[in-house]
Amino acid sequence: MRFCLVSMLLVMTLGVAQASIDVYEFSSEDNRQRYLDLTRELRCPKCQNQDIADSNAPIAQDMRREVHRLVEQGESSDSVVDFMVERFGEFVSYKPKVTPATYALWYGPFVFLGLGILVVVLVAMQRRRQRNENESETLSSAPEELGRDEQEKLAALLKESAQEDSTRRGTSDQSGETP
Amino acid sequence: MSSRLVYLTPLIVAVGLGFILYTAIGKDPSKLETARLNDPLPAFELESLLNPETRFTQTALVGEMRLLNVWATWCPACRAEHPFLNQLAEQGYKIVGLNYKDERQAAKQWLTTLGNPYEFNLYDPQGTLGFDLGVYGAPETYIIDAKGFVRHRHVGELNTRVWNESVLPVIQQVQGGLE
Repeated sequence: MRFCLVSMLLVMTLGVAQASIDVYEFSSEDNRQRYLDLTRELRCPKCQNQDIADSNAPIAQDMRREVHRLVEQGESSDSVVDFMVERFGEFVSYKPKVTPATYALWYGPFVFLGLGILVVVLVAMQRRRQRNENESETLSSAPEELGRDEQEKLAALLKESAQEDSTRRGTSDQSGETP
Repeated sequence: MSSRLVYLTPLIVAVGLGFILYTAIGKDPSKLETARLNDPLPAFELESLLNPETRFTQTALVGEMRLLNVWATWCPACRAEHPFLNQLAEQGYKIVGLNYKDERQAAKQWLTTLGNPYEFNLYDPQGTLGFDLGVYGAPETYIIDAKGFVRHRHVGELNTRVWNESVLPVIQQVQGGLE
């Protein structure tokens, strides 16, 4: 059963990796890697939620062919993306450029994160303030600390009662022995 | 005071998101921006479909306003819009055909049986000009102004409704700008 599951998962990953079956040769390992990266970064205009590595639409095949040609010509990855954007628009890139039109896209999440932190901090500060107020209320209603002479008086009282206690215990001990 | 602001934040965010989502209602996500809009037609050199000896370049579309229609015999929507193109040609519009990823013989046959509304046809079996234009599905129709600049693109079948709603206004604007 487990073997079945594992092999099924393996087959599924194979399907993703080999959706495009065209055979290209590369002059260097670096070019091959750039080709693989670029085809995952470019979006198929026809089948909109697939990258061109994953799609078998004719337009995706054409785009893969062009990516291969440009990479082998020694074009930089950026200029390959520019080449595609020039023809198909900003849509085609899964990593849109940072322009005023895409500020919301790039920085929006950080703005929301900042807002979230702000809300948490404000709520926490308010809670703390409320708690402090409560604590100072309970303190003010509690009896004040004893003064010096009052402490002496208290000590004397405690001593007295302790003596009384021990004498009382002595008598009770004796009485305790009588059956 | 600040606590009221804190509790209002979710409402503000919800209203903002609602507004953004509302503006997107009714938009067709499969309609892409036209990357070449208001740019000159990309450079090309292609054979004529009917006379392989004749070669056309981008200068063939300079001089007066023309429609550039991307079509192919394998495309059912092209067949559907063909009678409408015939009608436009009768009305005096100059239409240039871009025979896209097609076979010459089949395309010639198509024009003999369905009629030929085109001033001339560019034969693009590899889809090179199509790729440079960002064609991602036939049929597509472009308005090319007298200077050879792309002024509009319609992706999909051309018909009376599309013509009146989105194409004709641009044509009037392009022609009005010249006078």
